Amino acid sequence: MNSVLLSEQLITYLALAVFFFSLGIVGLVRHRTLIGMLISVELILNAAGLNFMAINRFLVPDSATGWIFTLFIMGIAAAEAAIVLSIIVAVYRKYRSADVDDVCELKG
Amino acid sequence: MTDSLFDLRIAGEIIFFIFVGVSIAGAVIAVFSKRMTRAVLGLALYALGIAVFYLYLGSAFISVMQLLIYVGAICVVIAFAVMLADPSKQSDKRGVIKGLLVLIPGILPGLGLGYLVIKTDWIIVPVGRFPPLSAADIGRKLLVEYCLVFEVISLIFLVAVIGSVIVARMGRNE
Repeated sequence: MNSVLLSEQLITYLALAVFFFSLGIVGLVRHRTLIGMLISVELILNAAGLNFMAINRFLVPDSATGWIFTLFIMGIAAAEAAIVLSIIVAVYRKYRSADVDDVCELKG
Repeated sequence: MTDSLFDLRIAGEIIFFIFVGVSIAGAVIAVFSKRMTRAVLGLALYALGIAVFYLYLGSAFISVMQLLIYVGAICVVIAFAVMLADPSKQSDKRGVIKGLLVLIPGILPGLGLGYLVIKTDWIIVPVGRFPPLSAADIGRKLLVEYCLVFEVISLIFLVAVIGSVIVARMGRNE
């Protein structure tokens, strides 16, 4: 590679993806509400998508496999957000709170 | 001619770094803000930055899909969750030490993965050897090579929709 521009280097994108991934894990541990944890999971999934796109662009530019996997990741993330929303609504109706510390008993 | 082309590339680089800043700021807001409304807006900012990265990686189609799905759908869904569940008063009774301790599970895998990224010998194919991909390539691949995955994902969506409706209805009659 003779390009010196950082936006045309694989390592820039991979480093960004690693940063976002670790930030997402920090958020997953830090947030105490279900919604905050959902947001952090979205951060992690997006980092994975960025990785797929970057590697597809720089290592296998003749194939669209990375694009398709990124699309699938987006779809799964949307489905997951819908499910978590309904779980949050159900939990809030029962416990009057979306705090993970309050939701600590099973029906049994 | 080459001069103006060079200028354009420099301008592209500057815009790239602006959006690196935007996405990092969005991610930090999403993770470290106490109010969930702000976290949702941070997520939207972050998704916008990622969409611009996808544009730089040569896929306008995926970039638009990212904007549509993340900013248009997921952020709106999470905003609805914030409105319905109202978790605005997040209890934060942690001390400073515990607050810093939280960073460890993020930093450790980050360091490991960063080490792997630097250490690995990436075999980079020079850009421009192959014709750029288009959305038609995705369609062809999706319905020929990855047809089974496509169908399974459709099934997952169906199950997700039915499951979320049922879970959200649970306990309404009590």
